[in-house]
Amino acid sequence: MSAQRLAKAEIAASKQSANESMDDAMVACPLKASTQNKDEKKERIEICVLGDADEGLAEIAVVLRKASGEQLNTITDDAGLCNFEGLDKGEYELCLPELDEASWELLKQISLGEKSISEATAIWKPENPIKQDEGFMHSIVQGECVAKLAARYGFFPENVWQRDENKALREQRVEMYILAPGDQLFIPPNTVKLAKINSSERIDLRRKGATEMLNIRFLDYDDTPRVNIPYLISVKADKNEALQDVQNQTDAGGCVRVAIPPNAVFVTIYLDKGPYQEVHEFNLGHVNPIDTLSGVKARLNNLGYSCGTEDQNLNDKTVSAIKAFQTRYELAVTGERDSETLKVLKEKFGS
Amino acid sequence: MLRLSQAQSQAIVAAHRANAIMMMCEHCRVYFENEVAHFTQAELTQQVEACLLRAKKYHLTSRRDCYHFLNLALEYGWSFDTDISLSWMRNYLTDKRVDSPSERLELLVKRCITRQKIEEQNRAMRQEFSPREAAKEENIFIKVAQSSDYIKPINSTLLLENVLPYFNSKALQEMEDAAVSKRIEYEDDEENDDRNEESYYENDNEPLMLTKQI
Repeated sequence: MSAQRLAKAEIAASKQSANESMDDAMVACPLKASTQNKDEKKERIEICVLGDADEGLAEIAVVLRKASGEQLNTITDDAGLCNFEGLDKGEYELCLPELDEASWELLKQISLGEKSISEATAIWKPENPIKQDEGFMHSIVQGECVAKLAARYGFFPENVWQRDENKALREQRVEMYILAPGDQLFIPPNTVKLAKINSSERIDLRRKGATEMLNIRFLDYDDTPRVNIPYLISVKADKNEALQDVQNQTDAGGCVRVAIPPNAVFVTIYLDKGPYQEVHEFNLGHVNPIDTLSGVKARLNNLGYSCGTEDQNLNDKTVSAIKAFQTRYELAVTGERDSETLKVLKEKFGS
Repeated sequence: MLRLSQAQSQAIVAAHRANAIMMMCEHCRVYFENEVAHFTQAELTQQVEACLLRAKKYHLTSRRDCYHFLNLALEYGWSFDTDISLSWMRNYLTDKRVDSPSERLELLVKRCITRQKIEEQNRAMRQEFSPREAAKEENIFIKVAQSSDYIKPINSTLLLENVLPYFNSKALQEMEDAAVSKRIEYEDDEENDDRNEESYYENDNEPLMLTKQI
């Protein structure tokens, strides 16, 4: 399989007629068609949806409405672009139906100039009434956090986290990226926003909260940051999405820092080159809060104090790991998850 | 004025369609040579016909759309739209957020090309950075490099009704039959070996000669 081969085959396919079907033996006279359309200049609108890092966002639903109550529906491509062709000159309403009003904003509107002419004909559909739901409680499953759910339901993460309905959860968990399975998060009702735009314009929009930062710190056994180590990071998202690998070096803090989409679920980091290369794999969003035994075990495992399976089982291996951690950081060696131990564990792990 | 009878019109349409199918077969042989190497012309024609019928289920009837659909079928497998491991592709073809079926297909094609480019770049980076790990990962990429990979669809489900089923070329069917026969022979020989081994120990005076055919 080769991208070049498919691309070449697609170039050949694009030369075929988009109007004739396989069964058409007769086609309309092109001269007659051009005469009819001479005085009917149609225009187009180009939409670009960008993320926080100005990256194009794919599969964002976009709706264009006109005053008569009809609409055109499409989604953005991999570059974050979509076009509405065959439009009459005039004003329209733009809507991102799957995104809450606070999660996107208009960046700029510029004229397309000569590129605004379109030879297509828009096929308008009856308007879909905007569905207003009432909000609901979502029960967290392993691997979920506020950022993931906000991306899934079209919100800006802070807008979900700061809801009054989530106050109790906020006080209990403090961090919106670390929730426990079974936690109840209120997903608010989606309020859709309409923007007035004109034909023959290019509209740039920003989807807020579409990017998260992954920050993983690598330390030697004596807590010395592993600085300037080359790495290659490979991120897997849900829906089997293909994401570009990133190559870089750990920074002055020994950190791997990379922007990832909120729906990222799995990360592989190849640390260093040559015979001493290490391969580290992480399930994203799977570390539970520190007040859970599984959360303590996950943190200890990551810091090199092996506890085995990150479950709710307090076994001898876990007690030994806790004692080793307490010894290392000059805490009272009790083998118990006391407040001082948890405080230091949180500080060393970073969350 | 020239008037055509219905029979004449139908004959013209039939001839036009046959010519169009032939052009599509030629397109397959030019751009996807390995994938169609085992098919005779008649088999390939029927395969393309089946592909077009499948495309019609997604309201893809223009010549351009049919070529796009055919390209995807050759690249990802004839039953790519029902393969569970490729469900993301079917999601594009049935996405109600996009009005036009042609536009859905166009978005899918763009996505496929982008994905392949990213996967190729990633493979190259991993090969350079971590050759050992890159070698392990080779198996997870879908490979349909040759027509013998099309013996049967991978993990397909019957999501479309009354679809003309794809069939193997005669050459491919013979290859599959031969492979199955060898497997049965080997299993039979294993059973015989077990029986012979028992009788070998039963009769100490005349040990049997054990033979295997692999």
